[in-house]
Amino acid sequence: MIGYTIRRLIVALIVTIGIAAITFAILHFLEPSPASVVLGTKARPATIAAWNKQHGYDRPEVVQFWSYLKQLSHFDFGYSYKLNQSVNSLFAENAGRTAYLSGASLVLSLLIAIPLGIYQAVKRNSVADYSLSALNLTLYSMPSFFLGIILIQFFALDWHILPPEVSSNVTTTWGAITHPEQMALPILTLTFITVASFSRYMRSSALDNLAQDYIRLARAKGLSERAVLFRHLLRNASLPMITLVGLSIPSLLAGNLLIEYLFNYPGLGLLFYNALGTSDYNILLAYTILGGMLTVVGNLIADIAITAADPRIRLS
Amino acid sequence: MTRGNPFVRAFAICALLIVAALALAACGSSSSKSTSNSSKGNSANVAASSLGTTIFGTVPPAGTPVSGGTLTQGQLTGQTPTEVFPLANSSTVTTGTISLNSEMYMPLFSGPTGAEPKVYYPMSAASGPPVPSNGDKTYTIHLKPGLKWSNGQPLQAKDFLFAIAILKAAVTESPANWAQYVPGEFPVSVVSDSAPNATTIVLHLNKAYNPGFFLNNQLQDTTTVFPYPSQAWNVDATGGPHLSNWNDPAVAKKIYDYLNKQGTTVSTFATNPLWQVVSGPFKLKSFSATNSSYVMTPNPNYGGTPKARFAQLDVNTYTSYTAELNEVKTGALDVMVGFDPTQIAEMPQLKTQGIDVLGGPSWGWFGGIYNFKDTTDDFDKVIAQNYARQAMAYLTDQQAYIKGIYKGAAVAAYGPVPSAPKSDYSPKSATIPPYPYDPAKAVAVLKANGWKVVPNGQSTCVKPGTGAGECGAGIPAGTPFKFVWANQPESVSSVGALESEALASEAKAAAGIDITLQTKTFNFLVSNYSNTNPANVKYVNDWGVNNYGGLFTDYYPTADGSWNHPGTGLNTGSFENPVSDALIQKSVYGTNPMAVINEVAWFAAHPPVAFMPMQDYMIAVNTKKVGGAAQGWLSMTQQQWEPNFWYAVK
Repeated sequence: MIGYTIRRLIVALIVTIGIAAITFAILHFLEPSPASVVLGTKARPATIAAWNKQHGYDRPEVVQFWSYLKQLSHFDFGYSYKLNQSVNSLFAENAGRTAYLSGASLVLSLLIAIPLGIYQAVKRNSVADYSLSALNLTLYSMPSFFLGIILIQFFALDWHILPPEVSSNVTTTWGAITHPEQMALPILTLTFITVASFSRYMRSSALDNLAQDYIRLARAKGLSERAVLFRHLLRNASLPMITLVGLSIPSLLAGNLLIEYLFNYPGLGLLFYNALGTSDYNILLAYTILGGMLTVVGNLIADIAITAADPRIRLS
Repeated sequence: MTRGNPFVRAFAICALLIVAALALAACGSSSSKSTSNSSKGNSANVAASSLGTTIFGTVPPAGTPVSGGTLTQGQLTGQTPTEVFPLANSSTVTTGTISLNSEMYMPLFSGPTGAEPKVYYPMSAASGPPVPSNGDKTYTIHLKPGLKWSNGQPLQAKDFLFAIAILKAAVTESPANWAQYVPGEFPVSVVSDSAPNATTIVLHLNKAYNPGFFLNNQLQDTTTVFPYPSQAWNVDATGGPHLSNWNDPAVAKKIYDYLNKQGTTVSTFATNPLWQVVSGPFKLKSFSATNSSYVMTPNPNYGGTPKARFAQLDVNTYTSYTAELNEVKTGALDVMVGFDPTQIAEMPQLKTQGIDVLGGPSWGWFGGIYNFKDTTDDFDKVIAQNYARQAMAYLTDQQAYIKGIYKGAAVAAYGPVPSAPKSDYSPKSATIPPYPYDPAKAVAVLKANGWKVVPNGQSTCVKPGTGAGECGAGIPAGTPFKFVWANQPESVSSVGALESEALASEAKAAAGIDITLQTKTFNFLVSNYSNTNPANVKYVNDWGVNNYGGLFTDYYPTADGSWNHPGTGLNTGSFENPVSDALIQKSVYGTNPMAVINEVAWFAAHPPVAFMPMQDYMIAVNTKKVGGAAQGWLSMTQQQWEPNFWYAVK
């Protein structure tokens, strides 16, 4: 187990460096230096050259990349020349809000998807199962922004129940937590989309487990159906959820770009979107690398967690 | 589920139906609005001479004012303020920066006056136009007496001298440090200055400048010139001593570097004591580093008029026009800036909710810049001929574009200034197209100059030479009239792409001019398809026309820097002509303050650009909650927010 974890961490490191190299190369190909973004299009070539020298952008790309890697090894993602702040501080400021949005919707999704999947499995091939499957497939096939637009139309513009966007006054994580009415639509949108996906997995897993001998044994022992389902089926059928939650970790911090854009919610996704518009070099680079790192780490955590949950699984 | 299971098929169909139903539900209201708009909506600009422009929609009513209250205004992500120090460089000069600066600081010469591009003295620090003397080499400016900074100190002449010293330090360090700076011109043109008394400024210039140019181009400009508080901002470090020797260029440079650094640190915009000393109608109460939303309160020491009547203005940031309009519809936002043309269909529905939409054309020009250096198929020689550019103008059906593509929210523009708004510097011909849409005339003018015109084919030069009826200098026999026309993607600039497609189609069908449309990003077009940067020589033959957008011009609309002195400023297509150079000289250095009118008229007759309609800039206002004088709404069509004109209504 320890050896496996170390091997996976080494692979994760290599993958992260690879992601960093590709992202770095693409950004440098598109724009070798952020000088013109910082100094403007009217900047004199001499001024640009001086700026590049001052900030190290006059060095060969390989040397620049090596410097960047050394920075990264200290978890230093560089400096946003547009916002005059370190990327670390910007990420720290926005990560909490994104984590709250993604985390709240993830928890809500699990609370709905797990019982829903079990219910569908138990009532398989019934009208209720088919109806819920149809609804799930509909939501699953729907882009998140499209569902968001529909919810805004109904809940905000037609019925005036909820605000269409998160207020500009919600600028802190605590602000987001204490204004549930502002957060309702973005969380609901993400939840509906995630429930659609999770409940399909949960239904399949529960169906597999319902056909297992241990369920038949439990029933043969005379356990109530409630006990069979919640004491035996639930734990075993929920194993795939661990993998899904692990794979959700990147979005927990890397943000939900479209949802944050649609609902005007200031998180990492919106920070990235704005950086695209202003060519804020180091934010783009850091966001992409962070996303890659979290994907690798999320996979690793899922693998480890599933072995902890199911002693029959051994990693090698 | 089993393959072929009839239930699966039934529910798959059910799922599709649900998707379709939801989609229809979401779009239903807008489609019905679209229908009603075609019958009831405002579908065309209306000339309103009393308002000094041509408007689209409705000017929000004045209403009955109520003192106090909080008003809300929107701003778009990407257009938010990025610098609070009122000396924006070319990378921080956003619409939001310009607005924030003019709300916090009183310009020496404020503008516009409603929609009209001219100085508005009630909001200016100067009491009247600069008075020329010494053969237009010396200008005397009088400040209004009694003006104060928000900290109670008087706003005096030396505050403007201090601003000049800082501006000089900025542009000496790099011309890019001040967005509006043209090398050699103001403030470098000021060789000495003095303040004989507290309200008089005397500027001695290095040469004689045209009085119209000096006021309406140099001192009143897109990013405006402001007096700076010389007793508060004369520092070069936090907590450092106040420096009285700011006339020393080395000291001024240190002060500039410090102020610029502080002024671009978004997280301290509202907390840095430097920016609490203001002269404009508002003070910054808070500024969110997270989303650039901010809150302003009236400055009780503001010396201009009108003064704000409300207690607080919340400027909220939105990611899209849709998000902004949704907030207006729910009543959470009072004033929406940048109403999108795609939302025009909703205007009748909005009207029933008390939301007025107003649009008006900006001051400047849009169109495709010809590349006079593109040697592909001798395009440089062809487009150098004015008859070739005339033919292109004859093929441009601006009225059809305005009706079909802009949905009525644009005005015709046949030269460097549009047909509206009104300006003292517009020639009479601004509203009369020198080459009105007429494909037959396009064909005739080509034939008359030695071309064999093949409609729907490829027109070629058949009479080379420089004589009458011949193609012109350097154009060999067999030269095709063809070139590449580069646009932004339709997803980014739909009107630009659509009008280009329409023109290309017409040019091919009617006159055998082969236009190859090419799509590039805005950044690519601005950075690479520009002959002013020597590094772009590798792209010079890749484009015949660059239709990245256009330019907002100064109130005094000379093309100085744009269409003269190739290789400098904004002359991205390398246009040059000795006649226009001479006219520009008169506009900038001549004694006739109205000289620019002749220049503008010449450029309309000899277009260096394929001029296209000038799109309206639009706003939406919740008239149930906010009112104000028409002037305050009309100025927004020039992308200048003047919230001191607004108030809450009963």
